[in-house]
Amino acid sequence: MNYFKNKFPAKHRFFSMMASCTLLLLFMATSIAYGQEKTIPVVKGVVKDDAGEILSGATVSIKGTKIFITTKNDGTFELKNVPEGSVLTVSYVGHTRTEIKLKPGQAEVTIKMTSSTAVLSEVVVNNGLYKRPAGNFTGAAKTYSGEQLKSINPSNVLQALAVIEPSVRITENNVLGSDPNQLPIIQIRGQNNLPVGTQGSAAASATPVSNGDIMSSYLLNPNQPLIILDGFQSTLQTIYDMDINRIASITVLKDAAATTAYGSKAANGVIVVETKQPVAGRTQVSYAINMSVDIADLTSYHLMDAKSLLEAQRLAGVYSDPNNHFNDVGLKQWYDYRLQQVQSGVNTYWLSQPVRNGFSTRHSLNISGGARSVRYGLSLNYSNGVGVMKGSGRDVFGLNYYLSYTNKSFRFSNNTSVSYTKGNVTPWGSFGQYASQFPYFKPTDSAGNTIKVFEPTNTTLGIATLPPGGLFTNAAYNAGLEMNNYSYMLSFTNNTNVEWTINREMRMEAGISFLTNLPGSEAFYPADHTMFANAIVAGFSDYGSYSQTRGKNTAINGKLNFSYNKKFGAHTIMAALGVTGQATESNSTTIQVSGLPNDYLNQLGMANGYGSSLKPGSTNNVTRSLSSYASISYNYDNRYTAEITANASGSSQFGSNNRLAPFWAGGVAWNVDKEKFFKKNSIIQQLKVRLTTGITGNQNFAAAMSQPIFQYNLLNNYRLQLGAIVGSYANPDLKWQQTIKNNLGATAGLFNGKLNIGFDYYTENTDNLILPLDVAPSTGFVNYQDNLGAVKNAGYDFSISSPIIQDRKRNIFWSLMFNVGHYENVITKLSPAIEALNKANNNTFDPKLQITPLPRYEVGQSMSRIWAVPSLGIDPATGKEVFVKLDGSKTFTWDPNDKRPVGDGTSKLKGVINSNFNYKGFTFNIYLSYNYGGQMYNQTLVDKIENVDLLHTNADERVLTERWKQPGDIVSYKSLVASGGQQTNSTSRFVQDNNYLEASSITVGYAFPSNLAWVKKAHLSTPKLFITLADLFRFGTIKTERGTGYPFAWKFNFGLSTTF
Amino acid sequence: MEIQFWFINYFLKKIFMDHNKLLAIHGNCFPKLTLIALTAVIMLLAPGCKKFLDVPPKDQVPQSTLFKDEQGFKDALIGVYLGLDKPNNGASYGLYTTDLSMGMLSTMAYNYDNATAANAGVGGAFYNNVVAYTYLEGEVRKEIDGIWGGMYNNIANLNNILIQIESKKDVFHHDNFNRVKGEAIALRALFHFDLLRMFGKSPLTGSAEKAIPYVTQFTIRSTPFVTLQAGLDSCIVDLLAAKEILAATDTSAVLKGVDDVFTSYTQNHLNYWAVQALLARVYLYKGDLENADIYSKAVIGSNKFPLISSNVAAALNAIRDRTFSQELLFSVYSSNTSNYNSGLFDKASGGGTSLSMLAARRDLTYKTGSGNASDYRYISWFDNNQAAVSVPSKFFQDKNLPYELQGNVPVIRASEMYYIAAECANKKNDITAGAALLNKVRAARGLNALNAAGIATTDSLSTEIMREYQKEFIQEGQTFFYYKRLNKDLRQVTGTPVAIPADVYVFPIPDKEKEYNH
Repeated sequence: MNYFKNKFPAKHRFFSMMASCTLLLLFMATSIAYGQEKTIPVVKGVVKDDAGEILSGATVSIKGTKIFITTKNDGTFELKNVPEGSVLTVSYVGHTRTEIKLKPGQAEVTIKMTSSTAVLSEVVVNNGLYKRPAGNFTGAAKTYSGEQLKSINPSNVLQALAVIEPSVRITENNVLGSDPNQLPIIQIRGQNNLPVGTQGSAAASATPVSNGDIMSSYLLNPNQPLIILDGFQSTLQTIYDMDINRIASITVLKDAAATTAYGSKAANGVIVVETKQPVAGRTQVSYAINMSVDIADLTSYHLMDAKSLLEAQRLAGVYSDPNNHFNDVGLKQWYDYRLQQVQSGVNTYWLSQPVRNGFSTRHSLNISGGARSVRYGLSLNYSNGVGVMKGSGRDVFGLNYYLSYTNKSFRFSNNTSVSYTKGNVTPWGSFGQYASQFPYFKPTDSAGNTIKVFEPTNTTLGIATLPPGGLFTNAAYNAGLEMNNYSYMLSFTNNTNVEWTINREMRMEAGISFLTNLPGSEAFYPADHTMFANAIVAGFSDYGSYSQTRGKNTAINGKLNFSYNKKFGAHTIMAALGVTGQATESNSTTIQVSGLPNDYLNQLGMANGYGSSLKPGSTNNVTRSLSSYASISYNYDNRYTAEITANASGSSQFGSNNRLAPFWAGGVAWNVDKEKFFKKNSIIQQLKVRLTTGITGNQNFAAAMSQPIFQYNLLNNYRLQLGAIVGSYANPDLKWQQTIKNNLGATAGLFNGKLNIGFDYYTENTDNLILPLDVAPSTGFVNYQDNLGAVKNAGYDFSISSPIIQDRKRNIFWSLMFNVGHYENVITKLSPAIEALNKANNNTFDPKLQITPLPRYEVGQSMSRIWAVPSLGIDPATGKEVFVKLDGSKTFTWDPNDKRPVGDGTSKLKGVINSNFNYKGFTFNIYLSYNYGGQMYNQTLVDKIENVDLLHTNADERVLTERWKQPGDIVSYKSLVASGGQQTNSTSRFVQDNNYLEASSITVGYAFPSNLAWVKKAHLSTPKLFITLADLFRFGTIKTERGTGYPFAWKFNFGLSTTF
Repeated sequence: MEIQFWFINYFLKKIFMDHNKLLAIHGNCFPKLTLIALTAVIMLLAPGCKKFLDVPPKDQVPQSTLFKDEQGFKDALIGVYLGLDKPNNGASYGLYTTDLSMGMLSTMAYNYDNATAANAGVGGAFYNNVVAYTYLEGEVRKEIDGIWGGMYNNIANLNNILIQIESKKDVFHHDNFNRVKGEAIALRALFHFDLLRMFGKSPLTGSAEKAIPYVTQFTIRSTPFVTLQAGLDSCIVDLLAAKEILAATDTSAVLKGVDDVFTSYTQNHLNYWAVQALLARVYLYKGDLENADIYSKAVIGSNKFPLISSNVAAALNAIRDRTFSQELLFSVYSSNTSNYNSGLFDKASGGGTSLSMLAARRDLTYKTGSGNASDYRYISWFDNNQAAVSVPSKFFQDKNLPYELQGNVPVIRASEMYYIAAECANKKNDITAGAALLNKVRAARGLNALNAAGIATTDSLSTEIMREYQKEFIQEGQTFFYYKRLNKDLRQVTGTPVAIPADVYVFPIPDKEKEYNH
């Protein structure tokens, strides 16, 4: 809340080479001298807010004249030649306009302003480059305070943002579950990129945190929004690891008018994070602790027990071989052996073996204070994140130091952050292994030692054939080994800013940010690890492995902003112009070695060598970008606002023929309620309509596509010489992907603030999508990247909130909020190469791939469309699945050419219902998230019931109970026959509606009144205690095994915070 | 970067400070001046932008960096030489090192009569389909598409070098400019010529028909198809140009390993003499016997690549020169060669069937008629890799083989020059001269001179020439092209038992080429 108080209300920075001439004229027109009168020579004053905090940049004017002035950084002002008995009017964003009548002869005055009740986000919009009062801003942006986000999810700010903001979506990762070492895939207003082609492989997979590369996370998820932290580009990981107590606010910029200043980086939307800045006054110490308990959610698993599994295996023909009597006898003997195990009572519940309850703690200590001119802030945080898989976790140490110095017209500030994070990967391996392991295997032998290989060899048992399924090893065995598997990162950031208030209209800001981080990872698997159990024949040099990665990433950001604003009469002009530049460099070296037989030889140098196939690798990426922007907004009489923003961006990632690209946006807004014709009424008090349009760009792709790059062949030599060739045809004409964004928005206040409504409708047309274009192979190349595709997104966000009870006297507050977001995605243009991909997907050589619906991109369809063959279900007579061909006829044969769009992975509606109740110190806050209208291919159901590999893995209990057995059975699943006999390929039978309602967050809290005896004794002020429960319950139409590689977790947070 | 910003910052402040003083006196001129100054600074910044944004990716080498010096051009050329084995966008198996030599083309010339066996060679049905000439079968088709793609990728790389090299003549030392440029042009001709020989019709039947695109530009736009005749003419133009350029290099000796690694191993570069040999081959293919005669004799007359004179089989295995390396005008070096060999011909017991010329056929080839069991080729080129399993062994390499003998896959050898000259003489009805030329090779192979009575006619001399091709080029693939050039009845000359498709001499053009280049 503090961050705007000591700044000029409209701290605008502006740039454009193109617009500068226009601006010049504008300046000349506005630089008019004003007349003066004489009565009191000098009136001095200071403006403060209701907390006694000084307000710089407040506008003080003499009523009835055109004379006005803005307060300086120290909140003071001087007015000359003030007529006696004048009325001074003071206005400041977020505060109610105050009028003071000067007493005769009064030459000094202190003006106190009260903050208006409106929400912060409605008052000022900070897009990271400049701030603007909401009244002078036409874009679609939404700000959430750090406190608000903390109340939703105190341990994961990104999750909190996705809960509260309907346009932000996090793709749920069914494999990685609640793995603390994976970054979420985050999108604002849907996808603007095809997840194919541009990088050569499928994109949008989750990135492990701690790789620390500034650019790579953007490249890996080309739909990731731009992250701006305190005015400089940052990474998703920084926000992920950040102490939530440091966050002052997060602003989500959605449409063109809000984001165009970022030019080529803006197409995916922008998330602007502002950290808290110290407040002047006595030293304040605040401390917050948050403890959380993670409990693995295994309720979605319904695996067979030992007896059922053995029976299912028998039915599936695992223990018989009708074609070979010799084998048949052997398999029967194996059955008997395993039956004996079952009968002896072995029935291991493997799922619980690698999981635990994770107790995590987060400490956060903040010290801030200072005088008017010098302020400081120091924050320390430590978090010890413990994952639900044993041994997995994430520790973060952070230190942040802020110092600022202000004099009359200058303000210098420096912010330094150092953080160290360490992510431990569980030695227990993938959770999926435990879901596979047979329950009739014993985890330990009679002496209590963990078993490595489950079954004795056939020769030991006197059986003639090898065991069905081969050698089974115990994944849990590895947990007892000395092995390393962790990643870490040390990062350092320094931001320096200089602000210069040139005069009451002009302001300049320069900043430089230096970021460096040193990521690394170590992974050591001794020879005793089960991964080598099957490879004893590989030879010593491949036995045991060690992998080490070291990296260094640096980014230097610089910016220079200039802002100008002027009010004359009913006209307000606000302009900002600026230049930003960025240079990044990322290096990393990976060394993999092998031949480490013993687990105490856990050093890289103890290895035997590179084995038969390993070699060191390194990467080095350099990018640079420059961007300059200009934004000008004109407001007339608080009624009409027009805004134009232009940007020229250049990046090293673009074709050498297209190094600089222009972007622009324009918007208009109309405060209907300020019109004369708008009669005061009891229904609508506030109504604002906004309309914007503009073009933004996206540069999340690799640099090599636009300039010829030679690749050295490092594996072969030609008579002692190395050779290099041009790997792919570089397209020097490659253009920026451009997204034309239109937004129509409205906000309304009804029933005297009892109901607040916000609505935004948007369309986003991305053109020049970069896709591969196939060419004649006689050119020497297969394809090259060109601007070939187009995608359209359209959708709306709607939110309604109501402070139902606001009883200050009895201290009862209750508010309700509901929001909903919807978007649709349509591909409007495609390159022929995508046709080839579709074709290849249809006729893939590997039939195994067809068990999952392969992506297919067609004009007129969405990117998340699910393509599968329509199914009429299981024929009760034969137990076979009945498919519908394209011509409508029925068949038992699955043919990929019959695939049709049968569902869409994107839900139609997504939103949240929130109730926030406060009574005295008590808080009860609940967020219910819902999803409606999307489909999902229930892959785990297919994999665990029909395409089960009973030879090697356990399966869902429905394998035995709900599959077709005899003619007449009306069931959902095909019959159980010998494995390999029938593969279930992508069919509409497994496309299910994915509707759910879940309790994303429930918070119960209590703030102790400061007048309590113990609170006073302990020198505390307003200690708060709160408990937050995340993902407590979920009602869904779809039942699927969630978290196949890492389980999902229920999260309980207990927090306590106080200020000394 | 930061310096730039600080500079601007400082500069702006300076201006503003000065004007602040002015402001005290003049009042309102300040905003205008500020803006002018700011605009001026930003204008100044603009030209710097482009330079700032031009950064090379560091873990790869951009062209602008590579071609800064001679080494870059050498490396780019070596890249293409490596592409003779494994080009980008290429086939599954080695290009000149397998498909165009010991693998596909030799199988098509019916060198391996057991290629019909299950899992022959690389395993799977690949060689079963090759030996049945089913070019449209999935895997064979893919391989043929890969040959096309790989050849043209090499050509594109050469064209790129040739475009870039012209403006960089001054970065070269000694005769290296001519070496790189000459070899690049010659390689371009080599690739196009082999593409013409595979994808064009036989010169006897389809000289005027469209064959392949002859690509001399580095561009993503496709080049139209040209006729076989025009394609061969373009090859000749390129080769003549290459010969001129390479003539300006040091051609005093054929080198092995010397100090300068780039000029070492002359025989692994498409050198001055190899270019002339190639000219003889192309002229012959075109039917221009006069020129074929001139260039084949020029190579023979240079005496740089003398025929062997003793039985290599007599040498110890560790130094056995099975490829008759002194005769090789140009051979591809590949460190993969021994792997290819063991994958195709030296398979371990139980690991599948090694491709082989069975005993009866071998005897028929080498011993009957003018042949004899004393033929060094018969003795040197077949070995038992397992007990009683005799396989072609031209590419067998002992681990201790001298380095210069390792990894060579012949592309063109001296004996072919004698055959070409003999064919030219024969065409002029000069049977005596023709026979004399053949006898030179026969003598070097441990055979008696041809019995004059047996080759009374040009036809009988032609038959002897064909027999020489059949014996000499086993595992080298040239025999297939010999049959094709003369449009021989493949079934008859090879004695394959399978029915051979009518268009066996023409490889199918890749579908993608037809789709995007018409």
